[in-house]
Amino acid sequence: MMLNKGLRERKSGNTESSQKVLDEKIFSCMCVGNCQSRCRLFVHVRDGKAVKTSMAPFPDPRYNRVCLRGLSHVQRIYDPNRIKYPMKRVGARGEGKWERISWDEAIDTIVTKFKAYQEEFGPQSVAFSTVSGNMAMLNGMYSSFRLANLMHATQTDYSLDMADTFGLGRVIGSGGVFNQSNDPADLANAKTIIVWAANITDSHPHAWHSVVEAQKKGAKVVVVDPRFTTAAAKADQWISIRPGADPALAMSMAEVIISEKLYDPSYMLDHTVAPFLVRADTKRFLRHSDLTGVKPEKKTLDPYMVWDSDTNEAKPLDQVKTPSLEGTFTVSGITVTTAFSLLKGEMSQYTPESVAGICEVKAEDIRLLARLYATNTPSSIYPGFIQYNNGLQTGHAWGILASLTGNIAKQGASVGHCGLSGYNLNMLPFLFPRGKNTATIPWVYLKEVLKTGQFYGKPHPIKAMYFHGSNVVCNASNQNEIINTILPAIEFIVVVDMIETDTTRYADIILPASHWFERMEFVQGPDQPYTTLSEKAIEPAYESKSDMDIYRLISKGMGLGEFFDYTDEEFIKKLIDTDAARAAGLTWERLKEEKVIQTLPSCWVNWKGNKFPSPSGRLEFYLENPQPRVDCGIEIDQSREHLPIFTPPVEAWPDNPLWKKYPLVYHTVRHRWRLHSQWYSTPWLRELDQEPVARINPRDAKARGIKEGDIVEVYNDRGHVVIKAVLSEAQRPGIVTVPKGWQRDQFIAGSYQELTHDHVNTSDYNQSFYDVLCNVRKVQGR
Amino acid sequence: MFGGYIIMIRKEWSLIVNSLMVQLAAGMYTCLAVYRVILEQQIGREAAITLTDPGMVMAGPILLFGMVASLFHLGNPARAYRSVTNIWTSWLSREIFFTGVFFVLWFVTHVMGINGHNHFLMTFLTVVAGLSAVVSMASIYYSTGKPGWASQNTYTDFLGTTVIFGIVSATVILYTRGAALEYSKNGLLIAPAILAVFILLIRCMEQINLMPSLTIDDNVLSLDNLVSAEPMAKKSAGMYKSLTLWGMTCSSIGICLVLFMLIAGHLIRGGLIIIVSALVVFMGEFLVRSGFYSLGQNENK
Amino acid sequence: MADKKYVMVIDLKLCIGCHTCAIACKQGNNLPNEVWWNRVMTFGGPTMDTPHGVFPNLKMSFLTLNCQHCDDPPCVKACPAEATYKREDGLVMQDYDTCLGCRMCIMACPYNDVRTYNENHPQYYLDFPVGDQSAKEQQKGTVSKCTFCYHRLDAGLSPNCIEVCPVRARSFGDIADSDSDVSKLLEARTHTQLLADKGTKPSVFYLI
Repeated sequence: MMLNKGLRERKSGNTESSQKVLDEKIFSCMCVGNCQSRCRLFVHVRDGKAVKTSMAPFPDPRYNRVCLRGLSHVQRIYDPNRIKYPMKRVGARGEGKWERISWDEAIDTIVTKFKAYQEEFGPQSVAFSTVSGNMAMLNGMYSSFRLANLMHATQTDYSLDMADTFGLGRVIGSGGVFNQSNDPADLANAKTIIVWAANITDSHPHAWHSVVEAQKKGAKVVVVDPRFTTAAAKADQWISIRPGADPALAMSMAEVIISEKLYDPSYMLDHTVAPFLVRADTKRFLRHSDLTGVKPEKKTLDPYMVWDSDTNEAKPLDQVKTPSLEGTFTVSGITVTTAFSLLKGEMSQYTPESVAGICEVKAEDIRLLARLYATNTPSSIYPGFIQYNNGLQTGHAWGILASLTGNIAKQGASVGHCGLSGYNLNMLPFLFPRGKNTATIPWVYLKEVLKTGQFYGKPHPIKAMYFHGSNVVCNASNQNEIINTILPAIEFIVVVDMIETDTTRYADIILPASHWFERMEFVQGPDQPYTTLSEKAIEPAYESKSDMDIYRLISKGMGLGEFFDYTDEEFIKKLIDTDAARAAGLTWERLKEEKVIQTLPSCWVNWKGNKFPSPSGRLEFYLENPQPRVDCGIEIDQSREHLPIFTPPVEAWPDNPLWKKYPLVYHTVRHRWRLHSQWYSTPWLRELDQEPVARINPRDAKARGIKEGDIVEVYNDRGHVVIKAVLSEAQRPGIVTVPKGWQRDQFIAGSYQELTHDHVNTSDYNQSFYDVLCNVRKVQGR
Repeated sequence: MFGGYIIMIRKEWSLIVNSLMVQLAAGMYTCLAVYRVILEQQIGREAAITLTDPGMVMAGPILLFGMVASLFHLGNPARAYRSVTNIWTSWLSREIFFTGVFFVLWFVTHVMGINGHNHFLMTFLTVVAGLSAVVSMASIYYSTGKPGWASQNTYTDFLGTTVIFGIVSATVILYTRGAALEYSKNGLLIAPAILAVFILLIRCMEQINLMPSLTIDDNVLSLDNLVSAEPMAKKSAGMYKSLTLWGMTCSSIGICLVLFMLIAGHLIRGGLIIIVSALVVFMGEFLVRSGFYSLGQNENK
Repeated sequence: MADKKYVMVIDLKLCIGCHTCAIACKQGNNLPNEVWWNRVMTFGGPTMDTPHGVFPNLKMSFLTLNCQHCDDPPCVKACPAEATYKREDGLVMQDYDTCLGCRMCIMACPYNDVRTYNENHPQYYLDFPVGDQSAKEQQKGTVSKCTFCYHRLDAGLSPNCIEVCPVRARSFGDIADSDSDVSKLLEARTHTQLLADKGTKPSVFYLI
């Protein structure tokens, strides 16, 4: 090798170290945050301390994955804000004054209070509230479901990410669960990928990798997002849609596919409700019993009727070779129309020309997108969560797009979210050892229950709440209402966490949870095809305990000890004691030895063979009997939900009189620096992402006299946040974004979550984080 | 602005002091050596030595002071001895080498002088070493390729300061010491003072050339612009410009005062005024030099 | 070893600016507080994650910047103490045990901020070292920079920042071996080096 004259070389220099060499052990662990990637990590341990996390391989190297958060665990384990011991509140609620107590005292207090409340006010007076802080099987939300059910306590439903999810879930029949799409790795097999409202490179970088693989093979990637995200920058096309107009765009795509006849009639006949006849009077599907008057014992034995154009009569589905897709007929005096005709009629109002103004997207772009999706197949829609009050319609419309084109249940063709987990496990006995015995109250509806003391028309006092795996004060909407209305209505609050948060601040008792690597864990999927054992790499720091150990103590106190009197190993053995698990090669011996077992094929396809869990087994783009996601005893207006009807967002739309006062749409963005609020105080990440900033378009900033770096107040009637401004063209004019997950004391004043609202949508009971208006002003004198 | 200046001085004072002191020592020594040769013709060898010697002796301690100051720039002053190991490619090694040689030769020449052996060759070699140190020092900055540094201005500036310091300090010494020199003093001193004014003019003209090149062109999106240290250095241009402007003004006032004293000295007799004028020049050069070092700011974080 | 020549290849079309490589470096090398040997820069607007242009005509990409391990390194020429020197396999080394802390290397380097001067005793958040045990401990008053993880290369591993990349945008290997991944990538793709006109001949190649 040529070196310049005068440059001197040395072979090797400072390679020998004077540092003492310690013994280093490596453990196989799992990162179980709510990003769903479930990365396998090696945890390097020296002198009893975790000193490094590194990427650990999966048997199929395509799944090898890690991110900046996974590589920061060492700092999370020894986080400066780690909770060290059980503590009880000594000052006023929220004052932040604590006294260290023993585990005995903590458990004794909790058990005594729980027993007293349940005795006096009924078992439902104790409520368990959990979200996604730990997505593993043993210490995550499932073990609290187990205890809550045994105690006949109340559970809160998290009211998160459930608008589009439920909208699409109703079409598929999977309902309000996340299991919808194929393995995200299967995106690599798609020819068209629409990344819809997903900050995929930050939130799901490992799914993005599969998008990149597809792109390398020539796939077209279109990003639909108001914001110019990194994905938008990398995509073949970016469609910047007006915030909250997503249903109109999706329905307009359906209109194009129908009017240009780009749909797949044979798929629609075989796998959707398209040929089903809908009664004009009841809006239900015409069933055989409607004509015979004889109701069979089981509804499944009552055939759907379709129109036979050869004989011009309605016949049971299985008796017609090619049913009519379109048409209105009269059957025994009942006027019926095929579901497809109804869809066609409803969608006809959403021509690209008529929605271009709503979406602020060119009609031609809508047409091209629809054609691309329908013809350059297989196509996949990779969605983020639609955080507007009309998100349900968006999900429903995606279901319609899949129904029209058959872009579902095939290699490379998929729609919706990924959440397949527990597929070959003994889940029900684990969750409900004595059956399901809880009332489930959606988080957004909790305020109403606390106010009225009623749920489902019956008294439902809630006196104590047990929060774990969640930081609800920081992450749930309308923070001031939580702090000033909801929490004060609860007499006794227990918060279990690893690190101090906005929520631990309002606890009466804080319990220190151990870190994921400080206990054994069992993990399955969803964004990879493996079932894994996560080893206990280190001892719990300080006095922390695993959630399962905490349940062992509480259940014993509650007289339910026998249900938790199993070791972690025994629990896992019970979970995998199924024929399906054994067929997949999932045994304790192998798990212990190999840590990782492939229990699904790589790039698995969901709903294989087009077997959908809906009542008809087909894609029900027309809903004959739409029901709310959670039954709170409140009826919904079904006439608006058989097929989607575009309604604007509940707040963030120019029709709203508030628009005059608050003309900017407020988005709380999920960035790469944290997962919801987890990693909020990790020092390495805080070096890179030092403070929260409000991003605002230069045009909006100029109109308000705001310059780069100014301190601004983002505000509406519900609250405010004081924060530094960054000018960025990535925000469409009319949008202000603030990053999600910072704790209250990390802002100059207020919090990002003060501005969001807790509007109750009685269909999906979802929090609409993006359906928010605000304004921004420069803070003088800063 | 003022706060930024304090921060900059706190970080860079050792290099500013070092460069000014080395240049003062080299300039003073060189200038007085030249005067000695000229004066020998006019007033005889002994008288010339008596008149110039105190200044040439002072150059040593000034140089030493500058060298000690430079140690404060180092993260590991104890390893300073290693700094001459890469004389083949490193201008810093060369600068330290020549500064060392300058000091050793000065010492030897001085000791020989005490013993009555004044050799022109030794003085000449000392002058060469001193000027080589200054040239090496300028080359350090020239070779970095940084905006403002990689320009001939660096040489003009360092050598210019050396000559101006030499002329002004020699003038002060001769002026304040030499009643015996009355008859030739003004003739000997006025011409160099005019030279100093001329050098200052050249430096000002170079600055007029240089300063526009320190503007950042924001509109060009290129990978090189993104990663280059140059735009970062250019961000310090504001401080550079104002310090240079103030410094050049001070130096000009000081030198003009010196010249005025030399021309009109028989009217206003005052060693004090000429000393003050010299201090004004020194302050001016300090400001100009701080400006020079402010361009290297962002790297020394 | 003598005929090896290590290079790093970074695909700018793929890089999503996620900072995983930066954190991997920070952890693996047990870098002190505020020290980053591998930085992620937004190639677009003036601040992180902002684009170039005016809505809706925007562009944005990312670039990671570390020591370029030049074949003609100005830092090696400028170092008065031979504390920074060139290894036969292409690595530009920085020997903390001989470094004077004169920062000549920082001044001579045309790339912005790839070196850090530890003005004070290196500070850490934890009271025990993390990362690779073989990573050399940092010293007060010395300059540090990306080492291409020589401590890992010498043990047959790739640098900390390579395999972790979620989009597989980073490759490392021997350019002298025409069968290596890096040789093949450079053969197949258009690439560039940073500040090529400075004549430094960097060992980091960017696929564009």
